[in-house]
Amino acid sequence: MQLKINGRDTEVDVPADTPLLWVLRDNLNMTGTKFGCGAGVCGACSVQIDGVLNRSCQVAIGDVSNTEITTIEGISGKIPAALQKAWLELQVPQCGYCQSGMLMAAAALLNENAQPTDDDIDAAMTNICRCGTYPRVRAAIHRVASES
Amino acid sequence: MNKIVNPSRRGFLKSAVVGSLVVSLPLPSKLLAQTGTANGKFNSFISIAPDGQIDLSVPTFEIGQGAHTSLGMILADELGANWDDVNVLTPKIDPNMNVAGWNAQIVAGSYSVRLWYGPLRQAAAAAREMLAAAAAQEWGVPAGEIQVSGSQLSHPGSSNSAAFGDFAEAAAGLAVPTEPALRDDLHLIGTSVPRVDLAGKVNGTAVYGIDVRVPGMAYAAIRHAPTYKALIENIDRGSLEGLQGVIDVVELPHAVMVVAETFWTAKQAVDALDVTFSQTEFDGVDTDQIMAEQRAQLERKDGGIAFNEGDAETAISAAAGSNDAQLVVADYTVPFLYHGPMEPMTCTARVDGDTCTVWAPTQDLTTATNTAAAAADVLVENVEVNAIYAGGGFGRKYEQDFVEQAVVAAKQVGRPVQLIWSREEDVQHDFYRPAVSARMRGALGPDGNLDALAIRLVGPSVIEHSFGVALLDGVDPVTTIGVSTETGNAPGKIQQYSIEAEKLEYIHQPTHVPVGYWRAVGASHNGFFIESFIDELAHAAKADAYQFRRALLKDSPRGLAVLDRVASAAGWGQPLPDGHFHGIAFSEAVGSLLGYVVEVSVAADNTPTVHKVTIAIDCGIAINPDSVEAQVVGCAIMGLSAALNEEVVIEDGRARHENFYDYEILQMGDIPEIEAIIVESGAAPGGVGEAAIPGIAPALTNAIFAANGQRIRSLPIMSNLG
Repeated sequence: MQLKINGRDTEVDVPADTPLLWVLRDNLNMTGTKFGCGAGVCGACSVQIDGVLNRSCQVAIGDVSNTEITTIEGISGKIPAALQKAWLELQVPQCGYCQSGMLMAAAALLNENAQPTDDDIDAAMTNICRCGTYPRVRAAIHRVASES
Repeated sequence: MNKIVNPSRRGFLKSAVVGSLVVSLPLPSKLLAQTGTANGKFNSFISIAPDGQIDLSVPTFEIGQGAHTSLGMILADELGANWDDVNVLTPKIDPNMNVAGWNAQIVAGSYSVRLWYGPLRQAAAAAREMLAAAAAQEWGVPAGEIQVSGSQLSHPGSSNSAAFGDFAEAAAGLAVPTEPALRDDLHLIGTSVPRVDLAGKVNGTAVYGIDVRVPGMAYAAIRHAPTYKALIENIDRGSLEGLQGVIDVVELPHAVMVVAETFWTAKQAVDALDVTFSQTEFDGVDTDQIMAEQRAQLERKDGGIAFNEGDAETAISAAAGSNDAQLVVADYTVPFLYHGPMEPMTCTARVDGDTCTVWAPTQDLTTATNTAAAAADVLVENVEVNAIYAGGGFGRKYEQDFVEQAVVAAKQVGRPVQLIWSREEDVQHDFYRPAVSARMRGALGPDGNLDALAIRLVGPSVIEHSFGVALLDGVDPVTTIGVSTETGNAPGKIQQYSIEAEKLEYIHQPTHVPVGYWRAVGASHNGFFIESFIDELAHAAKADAYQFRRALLKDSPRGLAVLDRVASAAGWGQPLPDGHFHGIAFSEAVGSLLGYVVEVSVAADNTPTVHKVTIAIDCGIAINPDSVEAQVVGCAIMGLSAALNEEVVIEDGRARHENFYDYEILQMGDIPEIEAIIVESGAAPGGVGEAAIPGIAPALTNAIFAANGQRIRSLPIMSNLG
């Protein structure tokens, strides 16, 4: 199966119903995308498919062979770089496990909405963080928005 | 396979049981006596290379709490190192890194900073004096005149100066000073130094337990018998026919694993596997039955006595029969809680003949090593366990079940195996925060003073599964954590309160549901019991809840300071927006003192909305204030989530819940404004990682009481609205 991930063409030989998450992690050793719940709830596995945010544990690999997939390892450009910078300036992560997904969701949000309100952030950022980094995630998104 | 209990863990029971912890410990002499003369290794913690690179091996693991940074800062500051020259390393197994009083190298009890602050400063001071001595020898000047800062040694009188690296090798070979002088010009400690582990956590490169990759590795998925204590009776391997990539089925007494070339194959196979589980005597047990059993035990008067100061029973009897004194009695309950680290249980293991290598996100390296040795049936000396970043721990990764399972699988298939639990397995087979019941009795004198407070706790023993004994002197010392002081200078036995007669009883009510160490352990429920009841007493005494606590804290300057600070910051007693109400609480756990004010409004259907949480913390010297703030806010959110929504309900002998869709954890939109204030007392460092859990639930329920007069005595709130 042909895939295009982070701008690079790659090929995997797996059943078509294999979730994208496990192809990334097991077949391609791209471990930045995390397994959290396997049920599409927590958002730790978030990636972009043709620029749209998706929970990769809920995406069958057979459905994305002709798409452009972007993972945490491949996010680039002004918004993701600004988010990563703000994440460090505000020392957002604690254990950090959910933060790949948080950053993917924040990048998708700011792509659509350069000046999100708190309500916009609440609606877009449905990722679960057990450490409780939510206030700093919110502050970092606002910081990037205010600088754009 | 037998349950592996590490006998060395029992050592902790004698010396380190809660309430008797010494906060600042002298450095064990053996720790300083160890010198490595090669490669600039000064001791277990500090190595300096000729090029000036300073490797600081900190004694505890990074599970998200920021300990690597804080401990690295302590070493670097006392050493006189330039922070940019420092490389903080995850420790290997090393008895010099055992937590004082334990025979184990652990991350637990919010110990990292509070127990290592003194020893690390001494270790760094010794290395600094050795560097100075080496330079003094070379330069022919008195060592006492050498200045050490910025990774440089200098002697102003002779204008000599050199980098650490120039003298590291010579210095590491010198005699170790047994009583090195601590410096008084610290400049890193107390500043918000950016964490050393975060760069890789914003670009996907940080390696967690689940990210370990070993050549030739296979993956294992697991399915436990859904009812605790049930056994595997039969496995029909024929149900896996036709599945490509399956390597083997690994049978354990209570669970089955499938090992395959990819995790997804293993997961599908273990789900498809036709397994018969045994019936057990617990198949019909549910939460109602467990709580009814606890309720019945609340009537017992022969419980184990944790402490009994003054004569609480006489004061309580007198109050009951008095016209002008009051006896207040109330029963409280808390539910089982799930840890829910975002990284589920996972471990990678390799067994090669008589050696075993493990990569684990663990909170207990020592027991993980012993567990792996037993599971692989190899000598402990032949086991290497690598502690990997944990995607959250909260006490769950102190357990050893996932380590044992991975090693057993690796040994059976003869290949490295990474075991990953599904979220469903993680939710259903936790070592839960136990459900606990409490009977609170308080005697208020005619003047409204609290003359006696008696607490009777009923619940399962938390220590039993890991230490092999249920009780110590009749009490489970974990269930009672958070009642007594850990700062060692409290006026009384309960919190920092001055109460003439105080009593704490514990009654062991076993359950088949596995229980363990959930963030703040006993303090997670005892804070709720005590601070809710103090509020009830204040109400009965017709006193303001803040002033009532002030009176109880009259002999605790630090306690008063945090309470006053939080009350003032939150505007206690000042007008609030229409329909908003305040609740207040105080806690002292893990060696830190905190005041809390929660602001709520309550809808007509009694549903509360939390608008603001204000917390003041005195954790002694705040090594890294920004990190302290992060932990306090994180505790507040976990505490709110637990107080409002979280409970593991037992039905048919097993957990009813499956995943985050039915065990709901607060999300972004649920989080109120949270303000954390650090109150500097200059005292020795207290713990931080769990410190702000205990007072959140009671401050919230006290605010609800202020709003609608409804006293919530059972958590979670949303399941117990009137």
